[in-house]
Formats: sequence, structure tokens, C-alpha cells
Amino acid sequence: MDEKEGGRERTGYATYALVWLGLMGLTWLSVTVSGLESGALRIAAPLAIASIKAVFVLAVFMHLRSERGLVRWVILIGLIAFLVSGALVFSDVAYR
Amino acid sequence: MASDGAGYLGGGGRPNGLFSWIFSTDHKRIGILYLVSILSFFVVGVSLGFLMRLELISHGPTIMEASTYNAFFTLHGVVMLFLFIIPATPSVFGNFFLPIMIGANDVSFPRLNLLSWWFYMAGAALALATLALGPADTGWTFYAPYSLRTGTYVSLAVFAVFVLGLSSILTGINFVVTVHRLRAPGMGFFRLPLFVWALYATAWIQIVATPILGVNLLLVIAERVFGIGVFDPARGGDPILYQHLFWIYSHPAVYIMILPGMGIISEIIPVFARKVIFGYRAIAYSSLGIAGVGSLVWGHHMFVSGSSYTAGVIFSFFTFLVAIPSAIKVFNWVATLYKGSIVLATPFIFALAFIFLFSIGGLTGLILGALSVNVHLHDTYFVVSHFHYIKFGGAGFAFFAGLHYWLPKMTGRMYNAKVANWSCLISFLGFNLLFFPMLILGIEGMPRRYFDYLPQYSTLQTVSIAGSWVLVAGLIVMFANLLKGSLRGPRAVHNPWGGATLEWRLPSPPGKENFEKILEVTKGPYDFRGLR
Repeated sequence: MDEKEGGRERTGYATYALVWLGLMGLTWLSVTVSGLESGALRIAAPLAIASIKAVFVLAVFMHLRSERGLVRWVILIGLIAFLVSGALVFSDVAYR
Repeated sequence: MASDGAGYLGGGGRPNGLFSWIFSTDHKRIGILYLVSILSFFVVGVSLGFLMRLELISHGPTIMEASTYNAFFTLHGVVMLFLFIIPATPSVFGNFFLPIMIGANDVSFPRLNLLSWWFYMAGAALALATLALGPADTGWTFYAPYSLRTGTYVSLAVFAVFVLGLSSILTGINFVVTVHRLRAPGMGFFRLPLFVWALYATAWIQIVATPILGVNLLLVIAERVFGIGVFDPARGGDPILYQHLFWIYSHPAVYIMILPGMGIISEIIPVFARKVIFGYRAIAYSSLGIAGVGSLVWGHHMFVSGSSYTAGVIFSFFTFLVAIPSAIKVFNWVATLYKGSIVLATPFIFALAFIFLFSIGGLTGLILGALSVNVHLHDTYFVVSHFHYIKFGGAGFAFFAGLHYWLPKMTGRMYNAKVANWSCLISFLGFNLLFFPMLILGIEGMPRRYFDYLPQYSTLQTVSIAGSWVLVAGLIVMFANLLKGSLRGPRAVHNPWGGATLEWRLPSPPGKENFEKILEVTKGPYDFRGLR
């Protein structure tokens, strides 16, 4: 499915298709879990599923699994920005 | 050294004519495409603002109805922010000069660069289409829940902003990669001109913050079309969440506007003071500091929205904190002027106007950043005046300074310096006459976005309206002079100001290829030894 090209792994179309199907499946799971009357799980489970989906997208579709060095570190900026923004939003929501 | 020809402006290749411009991947031509487009939309934005002011010349409907006034201030905001001031400096001067200043022949992704301009034009067409169809009446912030319920063309306007955001992201990616990958040998990070540092910091904000706006705007469209209930309280949504997601982008966007402008000023001040810039590293790091801390202050737009008191205290603290890197820049510019051999040329005069106006904008920002005072001043003319001092007096005047500094390089021709100086003076006076009374009106309680007002506000409203006429007169003189100079002015020499950055080594206008052979950089950008 995947080939080596110039020392880097090249993702094959079959991998893309499989991951895409996996993402669709996780989306279905996310919608289903949100509809369940299960208290805190209604929020926590879709967030966890969304995080798993994000890892797949970053690793496969954005080719991070075949990148190294600076490009991998750069993704940290996005993650830090996300965490800080989230924390500041919750400083409002949690204390309202 | 005078230019030996038309340089990159000349034809002769294929395609030719208009197509040689709109399908060009040359960063210099794309810079000019942006310049022409952005200035065209600036005229639209100024006209809308001028007519809004004129409407207020007497009580009650004067030249338009209240609903038209609402549509005008919405479109004025969208056009001025998303079509003029956000892209102006990065897209025009960044595209044209960033590769040259680092010794490269183009940006890393030239075709992506062209695509960015096409996205910009598509977004602009969509935004202006709402003018014909029925403009949104929400204000440029598209606040929920009103934006979810109004019958005007909000979805189209929101989608226009979404497309413009794509354009901005592509420019940001291009600049970051170009700075990392295409610097000439010897051009270390601490030999980069401060304009490049500012563009680099701005590009990171564009990349990190703009997608959040994109998601937020798509949610507005989804909410309007499918009623998904994320923001609409009637469906269990949270309208304050909309404000969070909007300002997470839109406050850093203020720094997308002002940081490149600060970069321009950092170029101009040392050249016309004939001195090495004071505190190079402090200015460079302060650009990153503003980009970082400036991304943590968005909640100060929401002190009275119903967000928590705890959040208010945190955001107020960060707001005061962001003043520090901004002040570092101002102090370093002033320190550079100290004992300099000042040359009072037009770009320098604009730069001085910038420092004055930006300082007023920054200091009034601190007043608004204080929680208790904000409650009194929120949504008044004080806020309108404050952000115009930052965006127009700051970013706008810096852009004008850049035009007068770099246009001779871009077009190969000089403008009339005396007329340019007068246009600066008239615009400066007009600007203050227009916006300073608004500070007082705001303190007295005049709310923003109202198309009518109480009789006690009449005098200052009239002064402010007269200011808009003076400002527009100054702008007309400025652009007429620049246009005439660009078309028929005397030929510009290759280094009219005695600058030390790399663009001044090239002919005016530069050739199609920036550098015929790979350049070896051996000195810093503000080392004026050997220059007049």
C-alpha cells in the first residue's frame, strides 16, 4: 500500500481510502454517542473521538508521519494555541 | 544608478497584456495586483464611511434611512478590515519586498501566491455582491443570535469573509516557508530587516488564528441553513461562544493589521535618522511577543457580554501585558531618533504621524482594557475612536508611509515631495478632527452604530463630520499625487533615500529576475557605512 520514495514513505491510495472509511465510522460513532442519555459521556466521548480523528488526519492526510524535524515541531504551535485558547474560554464558561 | 528600462513592468513575454498580470506568478506583479485591488476597495470603504458621517449632519434621516445606515456600517467594516487593512501591508509590500529583502528571487510557492490573490478577488466579489442583493445589517462582527435570524444576506457576507480568510492563510504559509527556506547565504535571522521580522510574526498569526474564524463562520452558515443550535439560545446554543470564537481570531487580526505597519516604521526611522536602529533584537522579539500575547487578550471585547468575572480579570491582565512589547517598539524608535541626522522627507513625516496616532490608539486601548472603565465606555464612540486611531491612524498611516517610501522602487518614478508633505499634513489634521471628538463624545455617552443622536452631541458631531471632509481632501491630494508621480513623474534613482536593505541595491523598478546571481550577505540591514 505504501512505498518508499526518496527515503520517505509515500502514502498509497488504498491507505487514504481506508483511513477515510475509518473517519466516517468514527463520525457515525460520535453522532451515536452524543444521542445517548449517558451524562458526562455525551460530551467526553465525542471529544475523545474527535481527537483520535484529528490524529489520523494529521498523520495521514497531512503527511506528518513521513515528516521529521522542524515540520513536526511546528505542529506543536497549533496544539499549544488550541490548548491555551480552550483554557481561556473555559475560564469564562466554568466561572459564569 | 537610474533604471535601465521597464524592469518587471515591461511586457514582451507570453501571455501578454492583462493576462500577463492576472496570471503572473512573479511576486512583484502580484504585489502590484494587490495594490491596485486593495486601493480600489479602500475607495469604496472611504466612500461608505464618508456617507455615514454625512448622514449625521442633522437629526433624523438626512440622506439615508436607519436600515441603510445599518447596512453601510456593516459593509464599511467588512470592506475596510477584510479587503483593505488586513491584507494591505503583507500582501502589497510583503509580496513585493519580502523575497528581495532576504535575497531571494521569489516566494517559496509562487503559484499559491497567485491563488491567494484570486481567492482575495473572489471574496471581494462576494462581499460586494451583498451590496447589490441586500447588504447584511449585523455589523462586521456578525454577532449571534441576531446574525442567525436577520433576513438580510448574512450567509453570503459570511462566506465572503471565509474565502478572504483562505487567501490570508495562503499568504501566511508562503511567508513563513520563504523566510525559513529562501534566505540568501549570510542572511541569518538577526540580519533580517525588521519589516521581515514583523511579516514573519504576522504570518504565524494568519496561520494559527484565521482557521478559527473560518470554522466559526461556517457554523453561522450551518446554523442559518440547518438550525444546528450551536449559538442560538432558543435551540440550546451559547451566543457568547460565538463571541469567543470570533474574537480569538479577530483580536489577533488587529495585530495582523498593525505589526506589518510597525515593520514599515522600523525600516523608515533608521534610514531618515541616518542611524543604526536602537534595540534591533528587542524590536524583533517584541514582534513575536505581540503576536503571542496579543493572541490571549480577545476577551476584553466581551467584558459586558455576560462572560464570567474571572475571565474578565484574566483578559484585562493580558491586555495590559500586551502594551509592553508595543511600548518597546515606540521607545526604540524614539531612541533611534535621538541625536540622529534627521532628514524630513515624506516617508519620515508619515512615520512620525504614525507614532503620534498609534500612541493615542494604544493608550486609549489601555483605558478600555481596565474592567471597570470598560463598563462605562463599552459600545460608545470612545471605542470607535480608539480602534480608528489604531487601524487607520496606525496601520493606515504606516501603509501610506510605506507607499511614499517604496513606490519609487516599485514604479521607477518619483512623486512630488512638496505635495506629498501637504497631503500628509491635511490627512493628519483631518483624521484628528474626525476622530478626537469621538473620544469626548464616547465619554459623554454617545453610543456607536446609532443613526441619530441627542441634541447635546450636535457640536462635536459637526466637528467630526467636518474632519471627514478634511481627511478625504487629504487622501484625494495624496493619491492624485502618487498616481501622477507613478505614471509621469521623474525617473527614480536606485536608492533615493540611502537605505541599506537589499531592495535598494536593485534598479528602480527591479528587473524580472531579482538577483542575477546568488547574493552573499555580509552586513546588517541598518549598516549605513558607505552610503550617503
